[in-house]
Amino acid sequence: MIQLDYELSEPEAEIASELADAEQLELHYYHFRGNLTLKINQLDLSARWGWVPILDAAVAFAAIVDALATSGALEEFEFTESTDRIRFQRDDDVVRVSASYIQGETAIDHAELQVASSQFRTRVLNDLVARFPELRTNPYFAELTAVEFDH
Amino acid sequence: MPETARPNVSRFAPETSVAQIREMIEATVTRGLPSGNTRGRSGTIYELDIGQLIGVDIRGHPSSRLRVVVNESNQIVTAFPC
Repeated sequence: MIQLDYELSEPEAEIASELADAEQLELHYYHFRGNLTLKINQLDLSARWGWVPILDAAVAFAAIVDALATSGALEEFEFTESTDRIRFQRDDDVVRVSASYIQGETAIDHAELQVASSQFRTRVLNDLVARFPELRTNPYFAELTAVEFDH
Repeated sequence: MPETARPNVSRFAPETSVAQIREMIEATVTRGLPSGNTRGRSGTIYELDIGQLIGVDIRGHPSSRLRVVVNESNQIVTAFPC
């Protein structure tokens, strides 16, 4: 069982400035910061640090899980402003998950993780464009949503 | 949230000047070891042991290593002790 959720911690007025022209890494590193909830089975890998860029996490998680195509594949999510990381290693049909900032490891079915990460990406993109309509004209954000429609 | 209250982030030593940070960034991008960014993100990560203490890492331990993230236009995205 997986819970993947978020909350933004910045006031909307601060986030909304110059979003239409923001470049890819600006959107990944500087905007939409908040708390990330990630619970898999009994293991709580949440990063409630207040500054975790949520768009970045949503896009990266989906890309990471998609890349775990074969058994033995290893991927790591590194936080943007920290050397902490979440480690994903595929082992047949399951993915073993651990993090540098907590003890323990858990495992989840790859298909379940893929559905959860894809849905999280979709939800974050939809939420953000609903709250910040100027994102519609941002070229990089348009690329992200175009990929979304291709799925 | 005040900068000092942010959890799980590293910090430069309080006496570090902007000019010193610029010098360290330049050294890291010039001589540091490059690696790819997390999947789904563009950019290149460079790391270098500066050879002297520059701040504390995310656990509050003294650190001499600097990590710099550079975008595709060779602009600095972020830099922090690691």
